[in-house]
Amino acid sequence: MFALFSRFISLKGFYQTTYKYLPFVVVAFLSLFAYGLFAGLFLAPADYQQGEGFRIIYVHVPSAFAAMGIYLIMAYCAILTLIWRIKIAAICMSASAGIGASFTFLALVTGSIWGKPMWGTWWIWDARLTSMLILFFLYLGFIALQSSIADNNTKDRAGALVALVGVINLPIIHYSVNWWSTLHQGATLSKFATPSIALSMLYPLLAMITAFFLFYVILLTLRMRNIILLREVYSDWVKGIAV
Amino acid sequence: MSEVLAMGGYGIFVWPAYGITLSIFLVNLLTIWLENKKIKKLIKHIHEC
Repeated sequence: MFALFSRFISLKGFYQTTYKYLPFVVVAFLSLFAYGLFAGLFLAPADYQQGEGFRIIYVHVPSAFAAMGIYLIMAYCAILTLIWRIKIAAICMSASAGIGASFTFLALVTGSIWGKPMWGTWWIWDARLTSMLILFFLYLGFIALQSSIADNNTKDRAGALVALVGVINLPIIHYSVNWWSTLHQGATLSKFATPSIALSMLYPLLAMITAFFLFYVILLTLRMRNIILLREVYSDWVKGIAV
Repeated sequence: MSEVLAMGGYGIFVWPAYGITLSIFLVNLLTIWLENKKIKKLIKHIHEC
């Protein structure tokens, strides 16, 4: 078990191992995404207040969940990088930033598209929306900082500090709908004991949330493999990959 | 078919939201694929020199 773990966290081991598991993740993603897309668009009944317009939640909520979840993963990786200097964690953190930024952008855009028919405006400086925008800027700041540093060790440590400082924004996003009077509706999925969404609407949503996280895993793996190749470009084991 | 596209009057909001989602998915994949091609070219160049 330990041998497998140490093989997985070594750069060469990660590169060689992930290649075998990736197809299974792709199949799981495609199955869940196809079901979530079809059920969300055509099988789930229309909402009694929002009509067919509510179907935007099947892309908006998963992207918002992924945006926050990815930042949390980055924060965990930042701790591993700062305390134990685990290289693979630093690479995971760097690889996650761009993906997280794109999911946050998606959450902001789809939220805006949903807001127009429901609230009558594309954008409002509401606590939830503003804190999500701050998350987007945190991702961009992280990417900009890492791009400006050439040395890998300095880049990793500086990025880890930004990731850790920014994590304070996650509870603010989550509880913003409770702490402030906002236009954004309250949590739907945290209340599993008394779900505020019908099961026929919930199942496609859960499928889409899982699919979005699986897609993140696919992108993360591919991106991490690219970063590993770049960092190990002069190693002998890399030679055989392109030549 | 037109009923499905209209989405009860919300079609102009629902379909673009899904379209943007798929576009961002594709852009992410394409970016990583292009980056991989570039890196492999660089590796080839370094190890052939």
